[in-house]
Amino acid sequence: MFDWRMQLQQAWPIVGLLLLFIGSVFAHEKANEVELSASSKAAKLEACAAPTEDMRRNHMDYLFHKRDQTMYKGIRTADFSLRECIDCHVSRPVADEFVPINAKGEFCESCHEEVGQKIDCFSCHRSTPDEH
Amino acid sequence: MSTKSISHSAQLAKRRLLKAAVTGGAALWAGQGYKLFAAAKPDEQPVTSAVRWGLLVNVSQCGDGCDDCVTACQAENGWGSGSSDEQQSNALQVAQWMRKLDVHNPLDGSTFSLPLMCQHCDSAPCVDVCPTGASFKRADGIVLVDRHTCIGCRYCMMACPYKARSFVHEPLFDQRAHQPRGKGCVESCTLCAHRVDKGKQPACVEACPHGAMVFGDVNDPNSEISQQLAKVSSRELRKNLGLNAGVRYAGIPVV
Amino acid sequence: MLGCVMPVFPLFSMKGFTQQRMVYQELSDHHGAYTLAMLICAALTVAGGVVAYYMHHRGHVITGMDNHIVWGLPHVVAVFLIVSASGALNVASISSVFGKNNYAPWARLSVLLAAALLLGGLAIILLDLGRPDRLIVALTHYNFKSVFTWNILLYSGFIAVCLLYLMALLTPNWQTHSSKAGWLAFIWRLLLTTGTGLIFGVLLARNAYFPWLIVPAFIAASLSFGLALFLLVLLWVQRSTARVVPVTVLSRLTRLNAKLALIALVSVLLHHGVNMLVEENRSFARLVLWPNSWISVWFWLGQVLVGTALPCWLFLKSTANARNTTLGAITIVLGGLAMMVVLIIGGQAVPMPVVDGFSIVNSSFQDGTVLSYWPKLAEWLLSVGGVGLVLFLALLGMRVLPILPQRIKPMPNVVKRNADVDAISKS
Repeated sequence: MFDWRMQLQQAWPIVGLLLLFIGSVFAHEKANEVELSASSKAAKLEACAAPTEDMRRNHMDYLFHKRDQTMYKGIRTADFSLRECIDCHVSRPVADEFVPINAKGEFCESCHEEVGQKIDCFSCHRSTPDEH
Repeated sequence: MSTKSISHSAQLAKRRLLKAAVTGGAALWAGQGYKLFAAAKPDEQPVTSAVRWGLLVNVSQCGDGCDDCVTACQAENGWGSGSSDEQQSNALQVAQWMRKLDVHNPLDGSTFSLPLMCQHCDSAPCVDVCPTGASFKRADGIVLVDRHTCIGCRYCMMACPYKARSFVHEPLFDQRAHQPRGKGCVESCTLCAHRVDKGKQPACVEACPHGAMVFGDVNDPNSEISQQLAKVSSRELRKNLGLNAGVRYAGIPVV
Repeated sequence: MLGCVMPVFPLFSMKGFTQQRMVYQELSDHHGAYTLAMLICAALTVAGGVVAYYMHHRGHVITGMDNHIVWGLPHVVAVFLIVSASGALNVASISSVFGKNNYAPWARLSVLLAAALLLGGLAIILLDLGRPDRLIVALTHYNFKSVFTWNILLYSGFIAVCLLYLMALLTPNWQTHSSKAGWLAFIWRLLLTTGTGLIFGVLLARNAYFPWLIVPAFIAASLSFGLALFLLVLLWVQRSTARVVPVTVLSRLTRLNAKLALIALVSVLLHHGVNMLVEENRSFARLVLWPNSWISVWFWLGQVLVGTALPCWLFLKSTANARNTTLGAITIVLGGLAMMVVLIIGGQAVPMPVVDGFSIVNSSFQDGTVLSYWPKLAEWLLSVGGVGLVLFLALLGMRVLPILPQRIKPMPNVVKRNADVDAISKS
């Protein structure tokens, strides 16, 4: 006899797996402090565009907010603009030479790697300051 | 935001306002007849629909075989010769934000030449068909692609009456900082929104050696473009589609 | 995939399972033909998946598509599969909506195939996106002015309606529900093909598509292509699993398919014919109808000769047998793909009158010339992978759900089975 209830009852391992999967999203531990690159401009500054703790937790929201302001409304102020972030935080081992900020061990990548969060910015945005 | 950065940006705003007032005043003082260009808007002020940016191309002044506007666009926005990327794409896969066309005049068999790019339509088909709303029109009439929500379906390219849009066929690295571009997204002429917001002219207009392009606010009757539009006869391309294009062409022969 | 589904739909006992005197059964797993078919389809699907991943990594530079031909072979095949999904429902609609009981035993297969076809077509389109990783964006950002958005809703709705319909058919004593679900599916499939036709119909920029004639052409075409695909699956089932399709049913279906192919051709001709009368659309219609471009070859040789004349001759000349039906259904499928090539690729290859009233003599972007397109390996694999997925899902469905009418005899040997089929074909 074809019984949908019976079929569903047998699906509990899948439901359990799904719950585990969803739960794992909340499982990562708080990231360790990320070292600023010694050769970056940021290393010489007291604070970022907002207090460090705030930036650590909320930088993505600031960035997303700013990007929509710029794109849709043409608001082109410097604060929280990705371009400024890169300019300040990028490693400059030699004058006028930069290490891409999403390269292994660099400012963006090191932390994102640790929390297992993919960065999508640099498929379109330049990862070094523009020398043009 | 810390108080420090707030006061900093307020100061910046004040400085910008002052600058705008001075340049605006200078333009008024210098402008006999019409202003060359409206004063730049302060950076923190959003664009408004009080302005509609337009472009007038005078085809009779456009140089045959000259593509300075295209080269300037490439250098400014980092595509084609303005970038070291897109080496794998073939001639029809590389970006074409702007191209020069040689057009046959059936009346006397001569040819004329014109630049073609996004026409920044008022009722833009690309905006209508985009499933995610990534194609959008800014309040001031500039049509853009939000690459953060573009999924690369290319329906806008199917809908564009000018084939003015390009799809990026390979990973890119050498973008300009002010002009993000990337694999899998659709892109087109932005009317140099990043320059316009800073009170500058689009790169192509600035580069044209023949003075064949006029850029400005078509809502402002005193702008050069409005005065020119009132003076010379011009047309939109594919007017029958009723798009109310922001780019107009003067000097196309009537046949 | 199999691991996910199996716990939900384990093999259940067939004892006492009856519905309207008809007994249904899953395909048994120790069936050579089934295992082989499943392996082939799985391999094709995996190949499609791998190439999609590679394409996502390298970009569309590995395809033959470009900024003129922005939609290529994947879209030809995907649109073909999606409109066919609607046509695959024919047999179910005939039995549930029009109450022809002798088609009822195959209604389940018809619904299953419809859902599988739609999923396969949708998979191709989604994997061909420039940013398939942003699928979630497509599902959370809607622009309701876009026909595409409406189609996303129509497609997901179609799958839901099919599953509901299948559930109603599978559940005993749900006759009234299945007829209601049949009506819902019938209306939905018409909306589906209308929506798909409108994707092209609303493109006023393209001088190839005449909005209110491309929709009927798509509806007529869907009825024909979907039925042909259904017939091919039905014949595979008959041949490989020793089920018997009454020759009266087969004959009626093939005759119907011939008429539908003819109607599809007439409605497409009407579309191109009216285009001939509209000044700005004439250039495209001429490229299709005049034998002087590659587009007209696809039309006359593909849709007219192979896709319509040949199957009409095969289907109408005598009563249906397995060979005629297979051949005829294959030609209809080929003709259907040819129709999509003409409309989708041809529609993009024809010069666009960007400076209306003038012809373009020189451009860095080859404006003003009739373009050509040939897919590369990536597109072939992606498209074939989608077809593989369709058949994989259909086979899996037949395996885990009681889709097919019960075999008449216990597993006969191969010689016996062929003899059975021949006997039925001759009767």
